Amino acid sequence: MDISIKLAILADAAKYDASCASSGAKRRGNGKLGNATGVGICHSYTPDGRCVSLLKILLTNFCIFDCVYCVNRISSNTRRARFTPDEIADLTIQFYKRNYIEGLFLSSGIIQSPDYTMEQLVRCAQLLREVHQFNGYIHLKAVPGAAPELIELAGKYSDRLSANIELPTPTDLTRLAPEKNFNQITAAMGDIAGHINLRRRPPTVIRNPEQTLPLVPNRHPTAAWKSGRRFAPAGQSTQMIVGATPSTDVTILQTASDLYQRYQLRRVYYSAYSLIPHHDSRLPGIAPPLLREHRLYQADWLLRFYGFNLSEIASASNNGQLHPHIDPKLAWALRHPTHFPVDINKASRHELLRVPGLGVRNVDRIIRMRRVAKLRLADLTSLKAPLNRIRPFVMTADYHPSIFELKRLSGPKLRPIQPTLFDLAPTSKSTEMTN
Amino acid sequence: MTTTVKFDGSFEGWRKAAGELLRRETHPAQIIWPDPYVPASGLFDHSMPMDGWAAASGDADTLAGRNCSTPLAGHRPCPMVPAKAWQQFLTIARRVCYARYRERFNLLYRMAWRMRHGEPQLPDQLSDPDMLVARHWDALVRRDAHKTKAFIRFKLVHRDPSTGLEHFSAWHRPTQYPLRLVGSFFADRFSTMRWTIFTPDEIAAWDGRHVSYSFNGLKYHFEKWDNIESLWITYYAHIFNPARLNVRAMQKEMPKHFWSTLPETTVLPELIKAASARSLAMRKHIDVPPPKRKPGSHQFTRPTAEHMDAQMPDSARHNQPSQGTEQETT
Ligand code: SF4
Repeated sequence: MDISIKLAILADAAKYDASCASSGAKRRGNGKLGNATGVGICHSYTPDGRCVSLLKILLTNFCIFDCVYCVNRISSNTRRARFTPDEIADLTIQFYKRNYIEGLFLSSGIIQSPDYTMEQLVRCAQLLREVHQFNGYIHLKAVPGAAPELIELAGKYSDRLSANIELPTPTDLTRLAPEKNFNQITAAMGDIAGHINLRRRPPTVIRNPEQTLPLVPNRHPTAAWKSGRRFAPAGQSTQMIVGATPSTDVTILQTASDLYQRYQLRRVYYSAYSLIPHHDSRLPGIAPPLLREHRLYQADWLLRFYGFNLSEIASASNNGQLHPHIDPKLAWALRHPTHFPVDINKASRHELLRVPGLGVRNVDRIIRMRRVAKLRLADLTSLKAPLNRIRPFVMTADYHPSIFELKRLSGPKLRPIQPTLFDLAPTSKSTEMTN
Repeated sequence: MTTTVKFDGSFEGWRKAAGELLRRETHPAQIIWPDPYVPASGLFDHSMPMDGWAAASGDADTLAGRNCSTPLAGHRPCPMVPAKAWQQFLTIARRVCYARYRERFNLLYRMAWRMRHGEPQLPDQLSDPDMLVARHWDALVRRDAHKTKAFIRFKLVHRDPSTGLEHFSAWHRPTQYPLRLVGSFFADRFSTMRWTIFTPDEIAAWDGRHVSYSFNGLKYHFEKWDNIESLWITYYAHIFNPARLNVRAMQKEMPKHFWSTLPETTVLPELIKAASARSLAMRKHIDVPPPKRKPGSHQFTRPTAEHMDAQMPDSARHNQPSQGTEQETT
């Protein structure tokens, strides 16, 4: 089969993986081909607004499993193809040299067994690193159920590993992916987290004290770190399909925050379930709105970087669903008017972060600016932030919002609506960029 | 009386020249800074790597820092400029030097002058008019430098049969003058290759040891086909999910201005046109009636070609303030 036909089939099969991030690893070229910049670069954008950062392909779309939401399941009559590890390595190198990509994101259908599949994936990475002296980014899929030695090898060659959780709850998984097992997937994550932790650069910095300590103890960080052997320096991530089952947003976020805490994931990707050809009746006939994905990402950020906890997010939801038309931070603020207005000149960083419309960078700017002089409303215009959104929630040296401003906001907007699972939304923002 | 400064047009050159001028307490109004990228602005000696008197001694760092020992008569004694504030200023200045605005060197010198004359904390005064402009230009250059790293597309031009050494070249049309900011990035990443990057304003070339720059840009680039490009286009066409068409988001990140040098954009119109048909077909296949929509909400899933064109007039790109350079959850 011609290489370009294989490429077409196996890129087609890979496009349902949301992640294309190449961030989290930083190293210089050192005379080899390639480096990693830490933040990752989007080299192109497809017409769905998503970033193309890595060559994201499947080694093969043959699969012995029968996950109903997946085009590659054994019972689907999609066209099949398989690359050899050499072809994968060549393609990666050729693309990389032309500056099309940051590296490779390789996944695969399950062929023969999880062990065999994992071995093939590792082979590709090994070829790139050892034969082609490739120093760019590699993200490998960790196949749940594969032998720990293979996972360890995978971590040695790759920057990031990911075992996909697939669905929000064990019940969902049993229903739609009968051969998969929730515990097996989390066991793979635990394995990876163990290796990463062992070789983590000491001391371990825990950014958010409200989140509990890692469950996997960081036993001998210094010795392992000194050994110089790295293991997936960009950490691990996972993906969850949203909208294929009736699980609510809060359930989804609950699972996500468990995973963040237990396995120190860098990132949970939420992927709105996409309609696939040859559709199974166990799936909803309509894809969820992309806006739902977007709200989940927003809530995810609030949990990780804005000091919110899950019960606060839940308190701003309607029956466990995030409000489709109001972002979760605003929804929370409108439900908790007593926290406002926040005094821009006196409030703590934590309090400022709760102001709708203020992001982390703007909060840090405010803190910088107020050291020089007391801030007035006009000073806020120099932030690239929507003043209209901020105004009702803040006080400055020359401004105090009237109580009516908040009332007016909360009136029409907070009317409880009944968002259905498949509520449609007109727009979405690309959430696929950087970590 | 005004003087036209002679310098090599780089950030380092500006910094040296500005240091000397500050040492002599030359007022900003007495100086004309020429633009190295605009030949008409003249007085540029591109053959001279570093201008004599500016390079003579010291640089702006030590001057703005603690050891300024010779306050000139009639001027206030040199106040302390804290090292941290000066570093903040230099960080911005390094990028502002490569903004496509004639005024840039003037602005920077005026800011340096102000910092030494009673406003050492200028970089923290985010709402100061000079700072606002500087930050805006800084953001433009930062974004353009980033897009340059992203959108350079190398083509294989020559492969030495005996050594296997490969020469690549790229033709890129930046919106600012970012080449000198990104040269080291390409040198590190592609050190094992040899490459040349052509832009309308300047050229950067890597010989395996150094990146050299020249102001003799090319107005156009020869067309050369590289066989791998067709594979790349195939990949691009198949990695996108037609059910999620979002042309606006794509164009926001990949403005039309850059399309002419990106091989994959040749299939863009086709992909967009086919996408709505493909996703409709999929829905029919499933045999579920399409969901009800409010009138006017079609924009997202079915933009037309006209809609796409309306998004971003090419001419408006150039001096547009950058939007969304920061990604924040708000
Ligand atoms: S294991 Fe399931 S999700 Fe993965 S390729 Fe096979 S069918 Fe698809």
